[in-house]
Amino acid sequence: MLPIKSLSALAFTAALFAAAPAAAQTMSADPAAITAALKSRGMPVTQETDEDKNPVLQTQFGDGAKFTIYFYGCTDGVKCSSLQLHTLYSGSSATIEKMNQFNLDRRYGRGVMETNGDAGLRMDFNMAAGGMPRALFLDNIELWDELMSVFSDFIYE
Amino acid sequence: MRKMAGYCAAGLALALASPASAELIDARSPKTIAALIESQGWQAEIDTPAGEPPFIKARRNGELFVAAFMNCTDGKNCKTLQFFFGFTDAKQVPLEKINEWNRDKRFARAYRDEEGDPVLAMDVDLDFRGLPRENVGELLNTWTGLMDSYRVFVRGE
Repeated sequence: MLPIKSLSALAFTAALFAAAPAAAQTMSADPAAITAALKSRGMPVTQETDEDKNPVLQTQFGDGAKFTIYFYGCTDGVKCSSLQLHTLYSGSSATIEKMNQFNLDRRYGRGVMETNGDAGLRMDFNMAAGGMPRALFLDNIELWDELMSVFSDFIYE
Repeated sequence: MRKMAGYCAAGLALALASPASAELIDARSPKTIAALIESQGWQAEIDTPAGEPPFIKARRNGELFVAAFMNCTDGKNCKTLQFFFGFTDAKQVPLEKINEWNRDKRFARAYRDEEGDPVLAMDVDLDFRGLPRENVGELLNTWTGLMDSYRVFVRGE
């Protein structure tokens, strides 16, 4: 068996959030609910539609770091089952060797060299089968925020 | 659009889900996670090294993966999980291929470790009260499906 590696967890940010209410509010992959959750932490959100008529959200963190939320498993553009957070960086020093190092060292998301040479960062969530409690979704957004910072520092160093 | 086989059907069940009453599963109880893994046909063995976080070794038909409990306090009250498996006899997989995997697949990340061995890992945040049982079950199903694909991908079969 291989030793368990890549356990260098990101600093955990749970303390930033107040305790969950007794009846946890659960979210599905509904663009309106996702938009409301992001806006609750002061993030601007614009909704678009992709070529398959699935919803797409464009948003950014307070420092201006932009990312896109893709919706998957939709039926006629609604009742989607999962999300992918995705961001692209151009003009960095990223290589497939650096992406491998990032994916070895960090958790939750994955760094990718995109076909056009951009460096991409992606993270997926299953929002079906009962969905995800809102507090946990916001915690994941916090992890993603931190992952984006670490990733951009790494590829532009 | 990026897709993963077998995942789209999940959206159909979503409309019928009743989030308010969903039983939530967190990472505090290795027994609960082990039972969930066993319910999908795996043999799960809990390992609790002294002073360290617990992990589960899951076996089925000669396959092995590890579910590691992370973000724990004194080896208890863990908040996140990492599913992990790899090969020790397939050091020839080029990083270009690993990158392709990370571009085309979802949820887990592939990398080559310090020894050059190909690894697949998937992280799940189960902080606060965790995720609905059905959602964790789907993630586990997604994980084992990805393991099957990764084996074919690495072995070139």
